[in-house]
Amino acid sequence: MRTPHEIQVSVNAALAGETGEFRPRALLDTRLDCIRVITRDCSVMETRVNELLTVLEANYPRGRKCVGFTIKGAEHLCHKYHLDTSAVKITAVLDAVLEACPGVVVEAFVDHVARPLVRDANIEDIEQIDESRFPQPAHA
Amino acid sequence: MREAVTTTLYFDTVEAPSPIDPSQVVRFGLRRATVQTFGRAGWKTPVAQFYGIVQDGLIGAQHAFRGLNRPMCYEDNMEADQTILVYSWRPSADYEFLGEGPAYDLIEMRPVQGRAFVALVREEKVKQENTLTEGTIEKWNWVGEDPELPGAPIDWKIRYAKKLWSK
Repeated sequence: MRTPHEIQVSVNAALAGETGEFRPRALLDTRLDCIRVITRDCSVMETRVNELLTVLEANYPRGRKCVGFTIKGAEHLCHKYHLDTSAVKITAVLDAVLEACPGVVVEAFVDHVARPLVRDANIEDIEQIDESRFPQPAHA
Repeated sequence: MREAVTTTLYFDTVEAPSPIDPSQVVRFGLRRATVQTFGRAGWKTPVAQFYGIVQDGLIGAQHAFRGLNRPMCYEDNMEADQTILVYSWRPSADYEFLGEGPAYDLIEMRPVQGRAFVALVREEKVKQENTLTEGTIEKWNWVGEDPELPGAPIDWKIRYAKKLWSK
């Protein structure tokens, strides 16, 4: 088993030339069809709220325990509510989540966890990973 | 942990128990694109967890499941959720980056009690440079642990379509 220092050396080598400064962001993951909102680079535990929502909690909280969330089935959700995934704001997707899943639990999550988190972290846009830049699998 | 074994598509390929028969070994790949995305986002902790937890830990997974019980569309497949394998286990260590700027250091943590680790794999056969991989590792993270099935995610019966095996 290698030491954290050895792992860190490997991480830095793996990310050489690719490392940006961490900042809170919302990312559209087209391969898993979800939007991930993350506000801290840390170890997280994912807790399922319902089939559309997962909350990301810091395993070793230093300050706010909730550090992000995931909206699943993003493509389907945006299609249903006529939202363009390439230009939609995270607040509009949260509105769509409320419409798709009315109920006290989802309403509490959206209004008391998700909206304050994106507001405090100044997250508005959803960044899309441009998959066309990368090699695609040639299936055997 | 070892240095990554790279191909054109994959940053690394790792061994895992076969979803069909856990006594058999298959290989799954981690796409370069996934690593580059983490890098550009400055999101280093998941990469450290790949090296410290997934790379040598996936082969020791305690449970395997198939199918996510949630909507997923991928490449016009509206039932892409059923192509996802989920492996879970209870690792002995966790990793997290702490600090700022040049003092942004990785520290090893003792995992929180009542947590299991999952790796999500998309089943897809890819042959590259004489290496056949049976799937692509898409994501990995901690979840709450089922108190009645150690090493398995809590609520696995509602999260996943089917349990494939437990060791």
